[in-house]
Amino acid sequence: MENLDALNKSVDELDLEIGRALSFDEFGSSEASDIELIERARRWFEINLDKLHGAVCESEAIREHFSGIEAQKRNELLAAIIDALLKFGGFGTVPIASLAARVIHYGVERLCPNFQK
Amino acid sequence: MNQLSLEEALRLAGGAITANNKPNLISANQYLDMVSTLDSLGAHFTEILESADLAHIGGPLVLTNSPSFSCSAKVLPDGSFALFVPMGVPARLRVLARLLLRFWGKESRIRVVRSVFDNIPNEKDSVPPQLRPIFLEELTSDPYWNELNKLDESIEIDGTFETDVRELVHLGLVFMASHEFSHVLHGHFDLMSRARTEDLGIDQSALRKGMEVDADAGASAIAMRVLMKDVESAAKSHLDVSIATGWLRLAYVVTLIFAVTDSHRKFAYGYQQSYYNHPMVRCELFFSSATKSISGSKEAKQLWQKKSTEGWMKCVFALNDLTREAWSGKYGNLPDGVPHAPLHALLYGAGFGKTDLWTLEEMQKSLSLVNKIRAFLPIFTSRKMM
Repeated sequence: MENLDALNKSVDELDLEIGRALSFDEFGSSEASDIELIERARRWFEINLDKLHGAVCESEAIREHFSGIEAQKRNELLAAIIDALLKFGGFGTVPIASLAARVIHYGVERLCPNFQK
Repeated sequence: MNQLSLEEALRLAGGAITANNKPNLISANQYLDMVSTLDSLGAHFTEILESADLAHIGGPLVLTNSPSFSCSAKVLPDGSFALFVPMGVPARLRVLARLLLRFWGKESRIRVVRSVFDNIPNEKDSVPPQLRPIFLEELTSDPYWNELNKLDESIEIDGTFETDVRELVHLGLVFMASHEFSHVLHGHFDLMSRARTEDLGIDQSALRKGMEVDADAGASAIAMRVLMKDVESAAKSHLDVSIATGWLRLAYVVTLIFAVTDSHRKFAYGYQQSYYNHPMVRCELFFSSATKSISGSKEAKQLWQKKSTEGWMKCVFALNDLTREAWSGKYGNLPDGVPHAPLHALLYGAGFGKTDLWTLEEMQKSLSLVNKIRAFLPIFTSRKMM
């Protein structure tokens, strides 16, 4: 259920969580502002699009769910993306549920144009 | 955490600033000044690493394309380090220095009566619109640079202050980059990794706070060292330089830095969950650590005391004069119902009063924490320090 909460968060809220996780292993001269953390998460997301594509777009489970727009389907899609991201690995301290919700906000269709073929 | 390559870490920090993508408010010459400060600092840092037998961990010091006011240090996959200085640091220092130096010699010595023990919510709303790019971090790059540029263009200041402005920006960069460099030099990354797998008998939050205080103390000593070496080197080239003016400027700009840092969080106890201390405590620690770093004669220490007190006091007076201007509506009106508040968090009380004693107690606690942390840091236990 905790994972499903991520679906109710805005893009800014998700980016803030991701930005905080990205700052986990670095030092700064003062606390980074929310806007800086959000910007950092957006840049990270852009940098990692290829990796996310690799994790999400090869998954048959996600392909089955991606077109669903009803609440139940969105929950199933979130679970499938979390599963795919965990299997793919390599996202470090970034919270996977937030990242999966962020992928849904970004658009699975947009990330995986191959699903439309 | 998977360590990012330098290229990835740099992209995450906003990318490098070059002469071609710098914000318009920074002229070509100002940009070159900033780059040469980092270049010269890089040389000083290399020398310090060499003297500590740590030359192998050196890495790039990069000016990045971000309006942030927080520098950062990152470890790279090969064990070296990258230090990132966002353009928001020198740009903000420059504009605020120009705003404050207008009051030099004309201070009204107005006193803002407000206690750090007052917990007033939503203080961000009390910053007038035109000063928000200095005291708050709420805008993304493009609107940020436009707003800061508008403020900069509205400042009327005698051109003779330009040398002081440039020197303040230079010394501000020296201090802030030295904080990040201290994390590297003192081995904080290794200690943080160690604490993840080993019980060091100190909780993670205290450990992290101690490392930040240790970095502030390190930055104070390094900034004093860099300034002294630069003055000695300039004197050898027969340039008209004086350590007294350098110390005055360093004290002024460090006070200015802590006036901007966390300015919306003025409440004394608003830092209990933070890795950082209240800016007043951080500022006090700078003066204490810088004083300890002077190894010269009694006269040298007395000169530092005199010039640093003057720099601190002049900066606080100017900050209060800027607050007075803000309250007069010069920088735009506040939303209906929002009360005026001081712009900065340096809300000093009476000597030996409640605020003063709290500041000193917090500083003592911090120094005690630093001593605990340093017991885990090889650079202090093997006495390889500078």
